[in-house]
Amino acid sequence: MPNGLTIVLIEDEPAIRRFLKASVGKDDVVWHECESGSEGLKVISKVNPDLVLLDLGLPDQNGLDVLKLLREWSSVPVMVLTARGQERDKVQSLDGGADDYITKPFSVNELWARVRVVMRRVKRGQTAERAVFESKGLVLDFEAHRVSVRGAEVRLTPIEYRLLALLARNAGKVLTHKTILAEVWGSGYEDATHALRVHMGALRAKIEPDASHPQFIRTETGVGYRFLDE
Amino acid sequence: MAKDVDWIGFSEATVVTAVASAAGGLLVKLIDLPNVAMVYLLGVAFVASRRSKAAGVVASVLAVLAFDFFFVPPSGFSLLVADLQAFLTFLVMLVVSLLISTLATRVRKQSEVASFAAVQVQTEKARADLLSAVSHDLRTPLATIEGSASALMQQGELSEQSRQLAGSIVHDSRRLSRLVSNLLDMTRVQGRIELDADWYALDELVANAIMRTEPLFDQPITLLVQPETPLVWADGVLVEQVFVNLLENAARHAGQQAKVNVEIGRVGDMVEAVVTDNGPGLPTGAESKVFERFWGAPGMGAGLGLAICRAAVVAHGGTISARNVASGGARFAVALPTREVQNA
Repeated sequence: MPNGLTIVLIEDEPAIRRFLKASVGKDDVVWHECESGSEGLKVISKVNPDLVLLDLGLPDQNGLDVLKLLREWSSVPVMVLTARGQERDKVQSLDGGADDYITKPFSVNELWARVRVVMRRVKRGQTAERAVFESKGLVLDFEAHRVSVRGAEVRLTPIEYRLLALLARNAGKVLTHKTILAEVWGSGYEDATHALRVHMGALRAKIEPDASHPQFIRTETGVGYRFLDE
Repeated sequence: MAKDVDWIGFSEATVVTAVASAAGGLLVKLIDLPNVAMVYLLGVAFVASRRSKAAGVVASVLAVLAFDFFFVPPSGFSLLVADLQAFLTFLVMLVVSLLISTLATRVRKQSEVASFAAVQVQTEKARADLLSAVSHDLRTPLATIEGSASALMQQGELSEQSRQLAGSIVHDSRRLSRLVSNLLDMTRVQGRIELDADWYALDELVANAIMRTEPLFDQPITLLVQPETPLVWADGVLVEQVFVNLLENAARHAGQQAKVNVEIGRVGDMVEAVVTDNGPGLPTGAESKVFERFWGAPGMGAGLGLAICRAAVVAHGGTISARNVASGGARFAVALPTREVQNA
């Protein structure tokens, strides 16, 4: 469970608030719940939480608008609660500054596992940027621009390298196509998903030993890509 | 089918001609003769704009006859004067009536088409609204059930038996969510699907489907991708669901021990993904029936999987087929276009 955190939950369904609260248990979590976006924003400004859980379907205003208002003055990690089939909402919340999303229905252990990844990333972001990234046998040397998988060097094209470096720097976080295109290709190329898919396919073929079970780069269909950080 | 005779139109032509004659009779003392013809012309235009072309022609014939009979000198009250003038009057009236009735028919048709389109848009919107309302109303309690039961499982003081019971709630709540999703997908693909299409590498979508269905199988599913396979233009979420449904179908019919393979490669200007299993295969003659709704399924939600697959693939301008492989076992092939397509 997420120990030692102050969490604000913005969710209009009482039954969902109830089980989320029950799942944080009696650990030293400071738990605040709000039924509406306006109340949520007030509470967040007051308690300065470590994490916000934000439902997108709120009665008083769209969760995306709440996120937008919140991001004007706060960089608190936000986990969005959304529903299946709302890929556009997921993309918009990520582009609007959400750190991650989880699709309802979910089990509480899934949620807290995702929260742990988010909190780990936030903490890592506060320390100095590492010169070498390592994950499950993949080593990325940012200074030497060198990549190896299980000891064997992998030759990447400049674009493939930039893709991998971007995803690895944001390990655990879903990056939308728009974000990836803007970071790797620069502005003006936001619609070039064809190029993105082709280069991503080539990169995956070079680093993933098994196409059916990608270990490093996961496709979040309709949303973007995520470097798995487990 | 014989064309309906426009009796109402003919009657109207007669009545209007009579009215025009009466009006002409009253006005003839005040206005010139050619202007009396104008009164008839007005009547003809009136009929032609409201009724069929035939009624317009009848009105022009009646008008010329009446005008000639009642007003044209020298004969007065006679039909004998059939000179050039009368013929010209008739010709003008005929042409005017034909022009007006043609224009009127065209305008009527256009407005019918427009209102039909408006009704269709409304129906689509109503369907979408209903879908999202139902989806919300069904999913919210399901989210509560799964979430609450999963929170219960975490409670330290729970007995092993209680934990198992909570586990069953989580498990079956997920199953119910899948069935609800199936029903909603079916409703969606039965309407005109709005594809949220983009470029995708098909193997990425298939890999996701494999990871989502893997718990149903004892052995790992193998995925073979030919080099240089082009991208497909597809609604990624929908196509991923197509492969989840195909793999769930394989698990249901070939069993948990089944060995399932997926091969992806280019075939002409399509990318084809072939899913084969080593189960008992399809019953003889069932190759096309399997994609019908509720075919061979004891439960509703389950019988929708392959029907959803077909509707989704067809909406992409792709093809789907099923047959048995020589060694037994079923083989499902899905082909998707490699170029941008308009919504079917």
